[in-house]
Amino acid sequence: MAPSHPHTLRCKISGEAGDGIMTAGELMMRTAARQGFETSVAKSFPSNIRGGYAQSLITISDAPIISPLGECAILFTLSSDAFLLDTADLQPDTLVLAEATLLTDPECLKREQQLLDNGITVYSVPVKQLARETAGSCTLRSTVATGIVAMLTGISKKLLGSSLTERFSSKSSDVIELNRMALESGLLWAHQHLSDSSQFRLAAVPPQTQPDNRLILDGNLAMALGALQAGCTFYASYPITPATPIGNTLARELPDRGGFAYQAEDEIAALGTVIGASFCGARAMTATSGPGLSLMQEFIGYASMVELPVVIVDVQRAGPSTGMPTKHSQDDLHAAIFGGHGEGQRIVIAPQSVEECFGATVTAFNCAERYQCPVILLSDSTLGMTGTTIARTALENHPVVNRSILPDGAAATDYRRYRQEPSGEMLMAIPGVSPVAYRATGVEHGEDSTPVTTPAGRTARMRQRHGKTASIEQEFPEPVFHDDEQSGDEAIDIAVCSWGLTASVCREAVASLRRQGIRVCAIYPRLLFPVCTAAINRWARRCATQVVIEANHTGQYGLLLRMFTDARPFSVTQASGEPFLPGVIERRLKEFLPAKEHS
Amino acid sequence: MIWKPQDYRSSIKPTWCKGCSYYGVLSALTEVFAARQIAPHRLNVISGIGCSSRMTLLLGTFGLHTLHGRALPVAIGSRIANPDIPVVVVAGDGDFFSIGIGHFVHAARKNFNMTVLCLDNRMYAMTKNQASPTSSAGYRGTLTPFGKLSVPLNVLEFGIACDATFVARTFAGSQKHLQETISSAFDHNGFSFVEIIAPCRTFDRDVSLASLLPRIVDINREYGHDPADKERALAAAVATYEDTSSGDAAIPVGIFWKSGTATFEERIASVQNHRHPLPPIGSVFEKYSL
Repeated sequence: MAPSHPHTLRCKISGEAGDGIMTAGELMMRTAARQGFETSVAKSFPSNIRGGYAQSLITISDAPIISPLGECAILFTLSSDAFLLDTADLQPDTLVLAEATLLTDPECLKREQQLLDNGITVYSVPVKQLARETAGSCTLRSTVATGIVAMLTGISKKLLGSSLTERFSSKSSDVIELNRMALESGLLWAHQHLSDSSQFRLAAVPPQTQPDNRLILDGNLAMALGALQAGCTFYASYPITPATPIGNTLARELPDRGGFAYQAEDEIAALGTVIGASFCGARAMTATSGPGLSLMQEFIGYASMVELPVVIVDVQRAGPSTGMPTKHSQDDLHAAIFGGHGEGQRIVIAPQSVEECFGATVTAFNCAERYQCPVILLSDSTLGMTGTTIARTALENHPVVNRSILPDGAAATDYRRYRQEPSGEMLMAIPGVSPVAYRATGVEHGEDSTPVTTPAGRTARMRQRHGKTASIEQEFPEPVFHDDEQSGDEAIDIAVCSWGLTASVCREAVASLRRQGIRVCAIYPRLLFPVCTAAINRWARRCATQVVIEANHTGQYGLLLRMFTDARPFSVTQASGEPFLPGVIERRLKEFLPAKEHS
Repeated sequence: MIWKPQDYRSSIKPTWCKGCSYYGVLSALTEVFAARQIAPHRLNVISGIGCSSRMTLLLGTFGLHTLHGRALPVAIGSRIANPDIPVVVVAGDGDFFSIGIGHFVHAARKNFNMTVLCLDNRMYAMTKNQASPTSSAGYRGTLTPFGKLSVPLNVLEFGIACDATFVARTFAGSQKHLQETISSAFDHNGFSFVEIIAPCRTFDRDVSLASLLPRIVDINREYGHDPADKERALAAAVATYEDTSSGDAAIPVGIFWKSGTATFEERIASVQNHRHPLPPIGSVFEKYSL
């Protein structure tokens, strides 16, 4: 598939973990951003400190980036494993650059021939040799590669130099100088050998009249900042890939804001401390990945039962068990919604982009405090680690909903913790604030929080807890929970639905289908549970051919729609550990269309 | 307003058996609270699951009756979120030292300022008599019909080894000793662990509060034990460990070990910014600007 926008360029650099692939991606993203472009970098690496396949996918565009993932126009591979993996399924117009020494490997040579046969250009680049000659060591090969890509794309050499200095500011001046030399040698080599490949050169962005107020955030960072925006003062977690960076940020920032990030002895304790803090009035959050979510299930049920606001981030990774700890997946949806024993009530929200990671975290806190229940935020390893440019204004205007607290000076008689006011509010007594105490218990209890064993009492409480969110879809403005793309009353060829990061990739595929004249109505829900039944039913009514696209094996959201809505969707799934690409989604959606429409 | 002991009780009727040794602990707690005149809505009692953990529901203070084995993490969160509210943690021997033992180690060594009361009946009583970590070897519970096949855990030795800064043992059959020990634990600035010998009269027919009483010896008073001496405290905890279910040897109680080091809450306060107003959120965003 062609890039989504004529002025969008994607470049992938891949090799062994430890080759500097991540640093190269960061450098290119930051530099192109400073030139005025919108940029993103999606990263993939193994769960080792050194060795194994690693890649950075850099997207550079003169318009806001819809999908940080997509087929690349330039592929630069530094290792034979990366070469064999990344050239397996290429677009015909891709430019392939490969470290020269790997093109002596028989298997790589065979692949190179296949590529040439398919009309794909392959350049052998003496990256190691250039690095050794100029910098005396082949460790700087990713910097050489950065120089080559910069020349091809028109990334500013001057700005790249200053980004480099900044990136290595903690290192000695020798390190910076060697990197500069490696960069120069890459630029020079590209100038000598690739000057006719001008089709990749980016058109200059017109100079901005406004000061550049953009930030560079990844999904994990955006969630941490979202938590701060939401007034979070307590965070607890246990180290786990790929969620740890959320805690890293909050551990640095919370003490300065009068709060604290606590490193617990395990995920059970992490959620336990969050519950204890919430009981004392703190807006509290934990973040984990699938294995931690499994461990937290008993406490999630407890938070549901005692109706305490807690936010639980699950940066999903491919499971079950240890699975593929750094790899992409959307396979915890059912664990988030249905996990644990005994039908505990909770809310599940999934942002679709780095920018949404910020707002969705604020929304998660608002829902937790409004409905007094656990809220699970589903991110994933790719979203968590994808860096992108974000306008500062996107972080503004995210209002905060406060908890209903029994105030100091309130009448102490007849306080009932779980009595619902006509507005649906329940006043929570807080130690040190409220003039009257109560005991929260996981034992079934009545409005006054004392144990109840009668069938009528139990039934009333189950109904009350599950009924709290009955009108959640109406209580939050439309775009908070889903985006509908369905124009007018025209006939529709296919109804498409996707969630999480896959929804962003899907938007690019759908845009391409529409350019080909295929009529698509799409819905991208953010509130995954309770299911946005009304909106989904509206969507499903438009077309009998409904497809849900998600990165798991069993089609979990599709199954959910069959349970809770009138939709009867087909499922397009992928559980390979890699995220969907727009071209793949486009191809698989076309399989549902009559042959004449995409001949 | 003067707070009387009964002001610290809720309206809930206990579900404990008639004559349960836990009633004495409930009385002692309300006496300790009343002696300090801390309002019930400025106290937080956190428990796990089991007979002893029902304590929370019987008190009129704030409370969290949590999950089996998980009272300590919830207590830690409460302490960090509001260090002005004293926390008392109550649970049984199975709760603290079987399912929850991992949490105990970390809460103790981090020295959170909380009063941790283990009501030790040396069995699981609510599930009708199974061996617990503190049951004696050979104990016949429903899941160990041929006798428990392991040795009991010495919780005092364990508490000292975990660097709890206050380790004591008391006896549910002596109201005076209970109140004295819980008072000392409550007033100690740090992780105060108290093992309360509190046999189960329903499932453990071999012992009773009355039969144990003559064997109770206070090591501070009778032996002049100095709780500041860690080596002797450990030796006392090891050497004086006695199976309460049989024999007539002395059962030592009292404060075994006590030390003064900074609490985790104090360490947190030392890294926190307490200025008002706090820096605006925009100052954080700026760190990540292009």
